[in-house]
Amino acid sequence: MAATGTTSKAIAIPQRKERTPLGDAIEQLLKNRLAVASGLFIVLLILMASFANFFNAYAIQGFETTPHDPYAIQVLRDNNARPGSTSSSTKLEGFVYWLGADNLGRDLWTRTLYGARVSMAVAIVAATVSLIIGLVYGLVAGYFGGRIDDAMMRVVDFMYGLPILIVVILMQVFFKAWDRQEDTGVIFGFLLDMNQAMGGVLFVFIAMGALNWLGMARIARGQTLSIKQKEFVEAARSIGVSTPRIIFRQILPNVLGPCIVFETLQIPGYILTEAFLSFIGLGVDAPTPSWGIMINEAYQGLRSHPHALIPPAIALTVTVLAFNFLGDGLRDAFDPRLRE
Amino acid sequence: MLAYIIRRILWSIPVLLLLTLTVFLMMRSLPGGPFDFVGDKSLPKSVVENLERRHHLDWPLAWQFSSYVLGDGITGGICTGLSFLPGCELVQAGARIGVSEGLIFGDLGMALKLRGRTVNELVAESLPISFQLGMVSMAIALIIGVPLGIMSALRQNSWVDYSSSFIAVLGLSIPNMVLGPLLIWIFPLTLGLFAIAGWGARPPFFLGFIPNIFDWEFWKHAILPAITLGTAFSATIARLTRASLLQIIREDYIRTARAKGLREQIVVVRHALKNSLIPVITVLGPLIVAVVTGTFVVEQIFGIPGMGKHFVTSIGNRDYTVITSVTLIYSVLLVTGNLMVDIVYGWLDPRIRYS
Repeated sequence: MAATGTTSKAIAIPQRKERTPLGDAIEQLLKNRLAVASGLFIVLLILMASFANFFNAYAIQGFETTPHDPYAIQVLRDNNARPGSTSSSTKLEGFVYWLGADNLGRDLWTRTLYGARVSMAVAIVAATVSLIIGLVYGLVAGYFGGRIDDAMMRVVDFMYGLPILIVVILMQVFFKAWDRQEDTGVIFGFLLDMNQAMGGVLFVFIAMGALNWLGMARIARGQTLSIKQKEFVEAARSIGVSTPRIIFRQILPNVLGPCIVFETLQIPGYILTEAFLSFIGLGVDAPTPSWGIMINEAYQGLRSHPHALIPPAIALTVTVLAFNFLGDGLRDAFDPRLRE
Repeated sequence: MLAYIIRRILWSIPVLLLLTLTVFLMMRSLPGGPFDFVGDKSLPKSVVENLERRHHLDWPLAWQFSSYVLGDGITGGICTGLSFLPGCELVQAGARIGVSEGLIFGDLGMALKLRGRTVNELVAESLPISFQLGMVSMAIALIIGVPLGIMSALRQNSWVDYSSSFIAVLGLSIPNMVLGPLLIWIFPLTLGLFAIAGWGARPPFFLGFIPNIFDWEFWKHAILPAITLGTAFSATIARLTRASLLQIIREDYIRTARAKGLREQIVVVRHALKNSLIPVITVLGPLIVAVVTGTFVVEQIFGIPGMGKHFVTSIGNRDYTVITSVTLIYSVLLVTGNLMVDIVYGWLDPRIRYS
């Protein structure tokens, strides 16, 4: 799809309106209304999550959160407040709980919004990390081939035999336990501080990034194997272009398309894994709001206060749905062959 | 074929052993131990020391691992023969009070927290339950997924196709932890149907794991968790069936079958469907894995006493033997599931050759 990018440097083609594969793909994607709507929703969600300081219910209604708990104002008297009810506290005179409050009297709209931060961060970071590791790994294995390829793919096969979710859980247990330790080394101490500052998200990133690049590596290797046979790679090699340059300037742009599509289809899995880890108490640390934690809390009080389940449940489902639609749309537009 | 199967099994042994070692070391390097607390109270130091000696936790790690894998008998034997090895005096002192016959003889050791119980007992109780849940979910996934896929493929680009595709993506996107509480809220809490939590089937099970399926008590507890778990898989299966059937229906032999005047029904069922289900079988491998790991959440939500529940609680309890053993069992299931799918695939599609 990006083959034009490699030729335009060598031969100066006069600029004129022509149909490029990339242009075709984008046109195809824009025709898919569901995918476009999903993409817009995700952009909006990322914006709202990034600027959650301004979009949370307290800020909009003109109240200030304390530095003690930046995510919400706890009003224990308002616990499990119904959607649309007004706060009974003098501190929050006239504050309306749009979506209700949770069992500790924290506004659900605000917590759901901050929860989007965690989910989006995990989606972006886990996808980027696994894309980079998997791509480089697959490119190197595929390009050099032979024994290097055999050895590298053996490692991937080996790790594929592991139950990934269980390993991620065990890694989280490991990190969490170290977190409470007093005496840690310099490097680990630094990581622990970082993790605490990020509300426990860092370790979720590390645990998920450590294993999720395997599928990516396989795709990238397969693509590289077919691309490196092409004439333009042969030509580049014959005029003496260096190996790293061939890999990154000739092969990478051609491999990137299918890989990005594949990665987009993985994102719902990342979001769900984070929510699952938080659900069983191995994800982010309280009081950082995560949809998984919120669902777990709401589920405990399901019998008496079912309304607390609705905001995080809908947010999680709709976000995963949007990523699925976007991924399907991208796949259909950029690489119809990948369609099952 | 047989050589291939044997090679695959042999190849998986080092994988499983390395995984066991990793989990073993990871768990033991964690701060805190299984005997730190009983309920909320901490135990006196001398009691903890005695308990640790009882379970060989005072041994050097390498010897503990040897005791877990090879058993106390062999480990003690090694130490008697090679008594110059470091830590051997402890091993010789403690090997008499055995805790495990060894993994290689099928003994998973003693549970540390649930005192007096062996891991084998715990697994024997909980694995059939997880297995039953997994099987019912799988059945639901196939019963919903395959017809949905066929319907949308036969009416391609009609409203039936679009709406069932939409339902499939929706089913794929709704997480277990959302669907589970939602179903609990709708059925047991609002309508008073089915059970909220627990598991209805009681041992003894037929062949060790098949419950009495004519017992309403079983279905009352099984149906909601199985739907929760099965929905996502039914969506995957529906999409795959559709794609594969669409491809097959354009093949020449389908045209031939039509041309010779066979009824449409026979063409679809006998000629097209049979072949189009082969790719569906390939995803059953990953699906079995997903069912197995998916039971964590569902067992947690519905309070089902399966293996996932043991896994999650034993992590908090630092019950080393239970964590290591349960992880190992999950991995064995995964490896077996993948191997079985490969074998069945090769058997269904003779074009595939393993070497």
